[in-house]
This record gives sequence, structure tokens and C-alpha cells, in this order.
Amino acid sequence: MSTDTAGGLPAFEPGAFPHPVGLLALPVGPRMFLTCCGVLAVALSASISVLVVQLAALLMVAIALRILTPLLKTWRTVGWVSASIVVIYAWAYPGSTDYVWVFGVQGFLSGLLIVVRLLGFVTVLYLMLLSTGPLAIVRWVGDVNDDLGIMVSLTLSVVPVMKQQMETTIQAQQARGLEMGGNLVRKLRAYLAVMIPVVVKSLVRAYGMAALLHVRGYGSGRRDKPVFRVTAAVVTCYALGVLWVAASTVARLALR
Amino acid sequence: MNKRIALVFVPVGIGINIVGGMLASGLKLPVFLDTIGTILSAAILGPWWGALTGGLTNIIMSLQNPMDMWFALVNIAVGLIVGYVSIRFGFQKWIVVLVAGLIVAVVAPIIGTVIATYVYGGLTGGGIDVFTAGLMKSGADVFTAAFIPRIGSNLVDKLLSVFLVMFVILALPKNLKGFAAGPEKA
Repeated sequence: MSTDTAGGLPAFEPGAFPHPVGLLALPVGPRMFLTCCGVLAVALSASISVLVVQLAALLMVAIALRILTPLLKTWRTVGWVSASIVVIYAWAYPGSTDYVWVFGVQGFLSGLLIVVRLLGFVTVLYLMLLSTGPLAIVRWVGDVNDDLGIMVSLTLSVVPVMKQQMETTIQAQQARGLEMGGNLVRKLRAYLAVMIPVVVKSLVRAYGMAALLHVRGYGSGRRDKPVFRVTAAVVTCYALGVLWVAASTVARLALR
Repeated sequence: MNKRIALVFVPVGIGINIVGGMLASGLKLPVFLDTIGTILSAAILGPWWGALTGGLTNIIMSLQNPMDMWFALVNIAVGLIVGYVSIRFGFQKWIVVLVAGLIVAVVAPIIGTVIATYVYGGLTGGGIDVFTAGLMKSGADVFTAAFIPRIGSNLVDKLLSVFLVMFVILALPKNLKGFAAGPEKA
């Protein structure tokens, strides 16, 4: 690809991007199903060893998808709370009976279980998000249900406008003498002074958008639904999801 | 309220939730104030559209941070409670709004604490954890230790949110009030 056109941005060349292969070729629906099964399986697991095995398997998938580094970076989002859980549970867990200095062994293990489970949730959910991307998920929602799709699309277009509206209102109110800092009462007053105009203008915008939908004939004719093809990969994906939950349930019952 | 209005009201409600939460954290307020849009949608459109606004807020936020998805249940419950209150009594009388706010202020932290206890062990990674740890050390179980610090902030948060919505609804023209106008006027 040449990079000397469009101000340094890579120019689009048809066929320059490889067609998705392997796991990346799976449609979004089965991936969502697998993610739901993953969350359920992690939630059902009540032992550190079972959770560690699942976490290792998920990291192997991340290696196969070449997203291990960004996935591990997402662990930082729960880094601070994870450290708090281990320390506070070891120090204050009511069920601790054996102690090493001031830290209870049972509390430490309970905290560790919660942290490993938390990392399991983070890994499953970010694996989906990093391998699929938000836009593909939004498009899939539209394929599943037209109304849901239009609501999600409108939300994604309305939120930046509302943020801009909020910034404009803050500037306008500050020009009129509003102080954004100070004590709690002053901050709450500032919140209301900004939020009420934003809410009212949003409602006005909502009725404008409803009129636009009516003018454009939304709902008068249904568009053709995309055809979901049942391939061997899709069936394998659904079977894997069911197996994952079943294995997790069996492990929980066996280790009780 | 026709369906087209509901279809655009939900995205606006989600936007109000997101912008409201951002402004509250920008002002460093000790409350979330991120359910105003859910309450507004539920009061005007009814419980199911309110629940949809609440659920979709967390689902859309989870495109940026997937761990937000867990608390969708709290937002859905807020939508259902306010919606049913609005259908039955409207959302313009201060006593109705106060009672709805109090119910939401108790139910929301109960659901939120159950989720937070399971997913995060009842902790937040913030300064309030010292209080939770102190309660745990004094013998309280994890749920109680996580619930008590949440109830106070939720009381202020939800009461402020419902009254803000009530004032907005009072300022709206009659034909835009929907269920909030009350059972005889809707």
C-alpha cells in the first residue's frame, strides 16, 4: 500500500486487506453465544484451579488471534481493585481461622478466588471485544432486530452531540458567573445548571428525530434480513459453548 | 406516545445517562447521577421502555468497558420501578416521586451489592473500601459490609435524580408527558 497519498494516510486498495480466516471468520452471533457461555462457565466455577485452567485456555486463544498483548493490558483496568481484594480479604475476612502475622489464610484464598474469577470475566469479555470490534457488534444487533439496531445507531450518533452540548452549556453558564468547584452544594447547583438545559434540549432533539424517522418512512417497509448460514464452524462454536458450560458445571459438582 | 417517539426517546435517555454520569464524575460529586435518562424514559414511556433504556445504557457502555455490563440489572430495575409507579400514579406529585425515589434507593443498592459482592468481592478499588474493610473486620459479613457504604450515596443519588426528572416533566407540554401525566390524563 502506498502511504504518500491522502496526507500520509494509507490509501484504500481493494483486496489489500486479507479475508478473515480461522477464528476471525466466525460470524458475530456464534461469538456472542460463546462469550455468554464463557461468562456463565466462569461464574459457575468455584475453585481457583478450574478458573486458572479456563484462564490459560482463553490466553491460548488470544495468542492464536494475536491479541495477547492488548488483552493483557486490559487486566490493568481491574489491577487496583484486584490488589485491594487480596489485601482486604486477607486482613479482614470474617471466616479466617489460620493467620500469618495479621493476614488470614482463608481470607487470602477467598480474595484470590474472586481475583482469578474477575480476571476470567475480564478476559472473556475483552477477548470478544478485541477480536470483533464494537462496529461489527452494533451491525449484528441491527441484523437481529431492526428497532434495536436503529436505537443503538441513534445512540452512537446522539452521544457525541450531547457531549458537545454539555461543553457549550458549561462555557455559557461559566460566562454567566457559574462556579464549577467549591463545596458540595455549589457543585450540585452547578450540576443542575448544566444538566437541565442539556436534558431539555435533548428532548427537543428527540422529537425532531422522531419527525425525521416519520418523514423517511421508517417502519413502513421492512428490509430484507441477512441470511444466516449454518456452517461447520458455526455448529462447532455452539457445541463448544454448551460443552464449556457443561464441563464447568460438572467440575463444580465434582469439587464440592 | 407512538413507537417512533419511543424509538428516539430511548437513545436520548441513554445519552442523558452517559452525559449525566460524566458531568457528575467531572465535578467530583460523591454520587453517580447516571440513571436520570432511565428515570425520564420510564416515567414518560412506561416500565419496559425504561428498562430498555437502562439495559442498553450499560450494554453500550460495555463496548468501551465490558465490566459495566454487570450493572445493567440495576438500571433495568430502576426503569421497571419508576415505570410502574408512573403508570399507576403519574410522576408529577412530589409525594409519589419521593416514594419512588426511596424504593429505587433501596432496591438499586441491594441488586448492585449482590453483583459487586460476586464480581468484585464487594470492593471498588476506591477510598470507600477502607470503610468496607472496617465493617468486615468488626465481624459483618461481606454483603452487609459492602451494602452499608452504598445505601447512603444511593439515597442522595436516586432522590436527586427523581426530583430532577419531576421538574423536567413539570416543564414539559401536556402532550409530551406520556404516563407521567397520571392515569386519568395519559
